[in-house]
Amino acid sequence: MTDMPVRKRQIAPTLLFLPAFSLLILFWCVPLIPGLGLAFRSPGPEGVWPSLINYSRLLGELTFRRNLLLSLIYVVGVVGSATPIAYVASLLMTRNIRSLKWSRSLLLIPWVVPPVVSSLIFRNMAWAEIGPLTKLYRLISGQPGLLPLQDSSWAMATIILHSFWRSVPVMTLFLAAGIATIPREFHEAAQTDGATSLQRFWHITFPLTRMHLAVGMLLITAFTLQDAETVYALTGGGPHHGTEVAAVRLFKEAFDYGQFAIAAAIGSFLLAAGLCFMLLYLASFRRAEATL
Amino acid sequence: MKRKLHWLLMALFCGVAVLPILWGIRTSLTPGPEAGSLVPSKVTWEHYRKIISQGRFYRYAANSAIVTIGSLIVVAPLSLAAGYALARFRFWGRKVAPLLLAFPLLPAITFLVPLSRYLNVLGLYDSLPALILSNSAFCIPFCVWMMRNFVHTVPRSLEEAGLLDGCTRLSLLWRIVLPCAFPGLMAVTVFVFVQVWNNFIFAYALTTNQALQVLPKAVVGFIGSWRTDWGGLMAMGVLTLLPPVIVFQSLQKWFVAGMYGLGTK
Repeated sequence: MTDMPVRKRQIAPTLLFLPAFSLLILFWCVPLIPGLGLAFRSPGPEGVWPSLINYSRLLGELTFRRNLLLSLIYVVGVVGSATPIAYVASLLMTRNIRSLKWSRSLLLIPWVVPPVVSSLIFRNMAWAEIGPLTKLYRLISGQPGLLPLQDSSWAMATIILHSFWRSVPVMTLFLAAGIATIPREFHEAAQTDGATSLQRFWHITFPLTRMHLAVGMLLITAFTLQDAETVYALTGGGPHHGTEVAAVRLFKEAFDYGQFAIAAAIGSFLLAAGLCFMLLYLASFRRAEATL
Repeated sequence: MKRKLHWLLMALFCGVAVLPILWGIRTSLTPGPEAGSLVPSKVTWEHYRKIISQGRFYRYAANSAIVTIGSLIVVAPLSLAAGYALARFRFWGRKVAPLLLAFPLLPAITFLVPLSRYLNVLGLYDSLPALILSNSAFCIPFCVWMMRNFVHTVPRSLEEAGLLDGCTRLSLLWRIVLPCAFPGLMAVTVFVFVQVWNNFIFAYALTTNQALQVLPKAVVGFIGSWRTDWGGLMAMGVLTLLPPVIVFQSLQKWFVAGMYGLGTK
């Protein structure tokens, strides 16, 4: 690739790039630093700094361990269910069958609907006697009096189902983008050599989209772990903290109870996880660039 | 046979994608809480009538529109400029670009408390500009990336011809790159519109004034006060989801092209 004729120390690219860059620095990076400091301040108006009291309180708490465990279940549940379905959908979508063209706009709808609105729709669907999900759950569990949002495991199943529903479209589009980069000739060559479609998938499509698959799963993991709003709107973390994932705990501590220091301490756990995701992502980026 | 199977499978996927929305619409048209089928026995518009007869609703909708359009006005030119720089020049920005793209992986909720204090210091807390700036910062990495990819598809020869004809860099951006990168701007529009209109957490964390509520926050606010009025809640939800769905449906081919990192033909 050729670039613009380079003059030494030209200022144009910096001028063009700087506004977007500084917006990100000013409204993401700058507030982050005092935010981390907050985690080490003991609660109350005249808090001591630095102090580890928030951490010792959190780590000594059964509730917080449960928050983390629920976060894990939530993330594994969503990624585990959304990935295979999205893979199948993306394979179908890239088949170039004219009659499937209509499907794209319908399939992507869950991503476009406001998360709190879809959460409330799912809340309604799992509500007492009136919801279709209630009926479905009752059929599956064999408990005729089951109230899904009053039961920790079924409430958990509902928030996973909802995030699964929201995650499939993005994941599908992402995987389809990966599949579309595979040159047609690969498949044609394999076909002339008599490879079945299953063989072609296993030896061409799958290995060549492994990176997209990994990055897609990483993105869904990161977004599910930090998702507070859909769980907050769907169950409010209840019943009895039964769906209170770490992100919702943080959200409630900060904005419902005003416990900013504890919230910041919980946040630092999520941030650490986010940093790991970021490093993994950058590593995969470098690898993708190396193979190009 | 195989083709039919594909078609059926895809129809199933689409059905699952759309069904909850249909359920929401159904509930918004049903008079009281009613168990049963997807098609209600009696259809009523009363929930919608109740909402649109209230002045509050228009205020919330206007707030949502201001925040969304304001963010678009911030993000579109900034991402075009930065995307152009990344696509065309070899400079320090190329080194930080992957970092930029990785930034949204950090959990936004951990920023909320410090962000609200920070905005307070700037005198912006509890205002619509606070929402515009935070939402813009959140959207910008991905938009810069999409614009970069679209600028890549604009042939360099066009720009070189422009340079020969005596265009300045700026007029080059304005007269040649902008029209060619139009699909990119459409993709950015879709992304920003969907993200900002739908955003709840920034609105929840950064505004407290009732008069500054945006629609998603107002919808959640309904749970408390109208606990069992599912019809009203769902009607409000349907009115909130319509704008992003309409924008997405009309511009989606650009957005899909942006995701693919290719220009459309």
